[in-house]
Amino acid sequence: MGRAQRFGRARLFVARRTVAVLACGLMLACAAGAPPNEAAGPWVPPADAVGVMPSGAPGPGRPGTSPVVAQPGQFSPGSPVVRRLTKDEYLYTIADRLGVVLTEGQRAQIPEELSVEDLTNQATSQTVLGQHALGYALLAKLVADQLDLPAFLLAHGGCSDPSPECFGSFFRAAALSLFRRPATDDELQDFSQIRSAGVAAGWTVEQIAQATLEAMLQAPQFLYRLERERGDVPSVRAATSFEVASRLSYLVWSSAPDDELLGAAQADSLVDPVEMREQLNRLLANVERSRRPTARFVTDWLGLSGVAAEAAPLTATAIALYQDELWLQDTPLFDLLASTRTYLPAEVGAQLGLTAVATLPTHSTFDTAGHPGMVGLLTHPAVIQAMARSGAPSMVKRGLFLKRQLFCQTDIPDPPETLRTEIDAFSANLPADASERDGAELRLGAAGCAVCHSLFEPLAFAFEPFDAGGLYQQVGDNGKAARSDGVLAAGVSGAQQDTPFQTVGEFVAALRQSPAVQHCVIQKHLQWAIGRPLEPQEEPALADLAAAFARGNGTYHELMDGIVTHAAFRELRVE
Amino acid sequence: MKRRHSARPSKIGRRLMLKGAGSVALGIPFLEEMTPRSVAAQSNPPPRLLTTFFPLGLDPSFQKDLTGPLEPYAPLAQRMAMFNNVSAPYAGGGGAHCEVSPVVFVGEAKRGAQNSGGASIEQVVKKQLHPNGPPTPIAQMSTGIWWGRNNCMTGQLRSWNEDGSIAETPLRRPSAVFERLFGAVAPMAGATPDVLSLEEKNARRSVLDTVLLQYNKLRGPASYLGERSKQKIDVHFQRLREVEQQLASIEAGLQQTIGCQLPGKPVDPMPHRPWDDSYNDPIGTVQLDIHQRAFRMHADLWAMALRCDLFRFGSLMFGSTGDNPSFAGEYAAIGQQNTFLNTNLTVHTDSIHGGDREVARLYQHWVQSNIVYFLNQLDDPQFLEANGNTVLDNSLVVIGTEYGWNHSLEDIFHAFAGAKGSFSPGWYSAPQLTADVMNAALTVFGVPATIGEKTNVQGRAEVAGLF
Repeated sequence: MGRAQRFGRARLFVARRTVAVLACGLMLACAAGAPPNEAAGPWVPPADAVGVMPSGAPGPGRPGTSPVVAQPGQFSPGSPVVRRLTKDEYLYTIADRLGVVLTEGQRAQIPEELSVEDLTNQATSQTVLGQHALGYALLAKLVADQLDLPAFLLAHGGCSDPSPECFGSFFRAAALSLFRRPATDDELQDFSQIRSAGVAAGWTVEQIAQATLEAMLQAPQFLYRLERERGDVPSVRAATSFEVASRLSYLVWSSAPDDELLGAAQADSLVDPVEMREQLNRLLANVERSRRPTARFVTDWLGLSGVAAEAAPLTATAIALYQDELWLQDTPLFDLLASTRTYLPAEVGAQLGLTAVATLPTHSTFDTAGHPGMVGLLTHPAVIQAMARSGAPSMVKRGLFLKRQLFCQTDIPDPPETLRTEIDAFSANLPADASERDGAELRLGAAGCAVCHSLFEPLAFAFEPFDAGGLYQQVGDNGKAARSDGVLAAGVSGAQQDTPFQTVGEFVAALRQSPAVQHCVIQKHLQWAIGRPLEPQEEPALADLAAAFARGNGTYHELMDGIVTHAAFRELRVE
Repeated sequence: MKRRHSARPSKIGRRLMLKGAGSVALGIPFLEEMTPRSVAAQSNPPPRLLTTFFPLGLDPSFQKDLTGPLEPYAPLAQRMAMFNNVSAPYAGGGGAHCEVSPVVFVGEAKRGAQNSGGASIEQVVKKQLHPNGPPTPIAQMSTGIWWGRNNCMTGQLRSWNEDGSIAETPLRRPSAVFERLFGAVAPMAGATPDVLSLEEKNARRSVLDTVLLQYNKLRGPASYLGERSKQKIDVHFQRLREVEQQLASIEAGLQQTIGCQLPGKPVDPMPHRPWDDSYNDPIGTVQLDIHQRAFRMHADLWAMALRCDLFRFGSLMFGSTGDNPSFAGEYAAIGQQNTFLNTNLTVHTDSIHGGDREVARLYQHWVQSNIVYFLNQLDDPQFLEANGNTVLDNSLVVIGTEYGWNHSLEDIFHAFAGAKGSFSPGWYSAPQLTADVMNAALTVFGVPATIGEKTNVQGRAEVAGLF
């Protein structure tokens, strides 16, 4: 046996063992911590449950057991919480409004964003560390130094002397751009102390403007998306035109409003849904900018940041595919799950036996119709790698990924350390030549295991033919023919009945029709748009959006239109 | 703005360094009052507390003497305390390494998988000794090398606030560590300190004053923000105030510090793939040499920054909890000629979980030798502080890990190094909890030993004979 073979076997063993350990820990944790039906005693799966999801819809309280689908009701906005500009938003705002593009080393001064439910733009996960304070200060100085100040002054009030009047015109123009709303008199007074001190020190008008800009870029009016959250009495109010302008531009561009949008806000026309829709369409038409948030969104949603960095070109094709389907093809959103067109690096397409229909420097376009394993976004090799975080193929990891990303169910507990002995014993008893599917079926056939594993492992059945690199192979890792058959249970999908499938194509087609998946996709986008997890009183918005979506073609543009015209986006709660 | 990064270290006076940090970062002018201050004058108790973490625990059979993985400590052992019977039964409760993470260097039972049960010790001491923030440009540091594990950011978190939230997110790339430590200063190196007029100082000062005023208004009773938003703004305000106070304190105590030089910016060793700063870099094969070089770059930068008194509290990691790369490369030590690391197997899964103690022994020797490298950088006799001590002598370095052997919450090795004269060196084998060891660290600083009280961890009292 050659060295490569030995290592290959060793890695296979490691992979299997790791998966099995994770698997049984998970199931036992689930069995110990979340009995499915306490009144009925311990749950024992039926003898024929292997490979088949439970089709009943158990009651609330169990992790991830019932399909989540939109329910109609009365929408009410959740509690307000201010959003700091994400790192992306901060950098794009500086680039768009000031024309300064920071280097990689400079960008590293600001910490990366944390995530909530996989999304990195959530106000509830935004911390402010000492690194932030120092980083913003340092970058404010750098930006002010790099800026073409004479040009900036000319474009913002045309100030040529340090008089209070001239400073006022400069500050008000700069604030409209950077604070995304007109400056208040108080703010002018506050920032005028820089002018006064600068004059006393003999500064030029450029030096005063530079120092003022340095302060503005550290101010909460710039770094945060401030909205008036308090009133005389608790109530719900419509967002003002300027608030709408910022909400729109950061949603669609990850950046501050441009002059035209600010002009519309100054005319107070964005409270008119018709005018706002026109502005939305204008922003969406700027493909260069409107692609930005979709890149971050799909990276977060599908966990693409977990793909090995050496596969970056492959990951880039998945992101480009998502973006182009939305922006160039106007493909209905759910159809992405079952489309027959994909982007891949040319060599990967060749490995899959595909013939390119178009070739660009970065990737090639392939028509995948008729290919047994290339059906829709989920079968893109980068997404397959993301399912197991570039690790070995794992039914458990892939199943958990699908449960989390497509069904928005994140509350399946991790395995308890106290059960490690039992987990190891279970793992040790797995047959040496067991395939991933074999291991899954053994877990699903064991009463304790199936309690949790039945919730997610069958979701991964269709993907067994995909190897660690995300490539479709007919033969599995143990030399046996890989299987991809199973049943998508009605209790999971939210459909009227169970959906059996034989191929990955049939499975993703079932996902594409699943009300639970559709609900989750809409939920992810709405959560992204409002920048925090939905509160219970906001969930009726999902039913509204789903209904509106169903009436149209289901495109991304329609979803954005539905979101920004909904009260969830246009209203806020006042304390 | 172009920065000048010298490949050769350039001598920088403390005054210049602090001026650079102050004026570039926040525009703070020098204060009028010049109050001399000395790091070394505060050497008893030591002015610094640093924690150093290594992953995957240490087999208890290797914790008995200095003939195995602990052999690299031999030259320092007479100045160290080794704790080889430490447990943390309150660190379990589901999950593996991710779950243990919030307990390391904290000693309290965790509040949840993502939240500690209290502050990590360097935060406790920092707050006690410097309620308004330490008199250094940087309040705290957290850096280290890791290779990712699942979806568990807590694996890299070693620094926690009292409320269980994250005190500091760690940096990984050596170049990022350099930027954090010296980035604000680098542009000023070599420049002649100019003398600022009072008017110029006031003008520079007005920038920060204006910024602080905006945050202060928004966090106050007249704010138009709701309660949750005000809290967030308040945190930002406090962070700015901390930085302001740190710089003001520094400027009040300008003095030259021996050995403080601006290092060249390191070039990040190229690992198996480009560095990923997202805290979830997937596991892969890592060259031993890459890991070691990167860690030692951290160690070198830390040593220089500590000589310059840029920070006094921090956490340095040799890996994250549960680090699980496949190491490639050769390593031989303690008479063990082995290529154990020259395979595609992982130390974590194959050696430790797989029960191969011999492989684990050599791996741990490699780990400890790198920690000793860090200690030696701090202990460089060429750079003595004003009291004649090395930086290590004037620091308490708490070394610790996550487990004993193979996920055991018993026999979790810990050690104290440095802090000359603050504790009795030797082996401490009586049963202790990690809470006891953490309390002992607090005692070195005269800080009340209250760890455990928040989460009802019943400690076993003081470590007998340590003081």
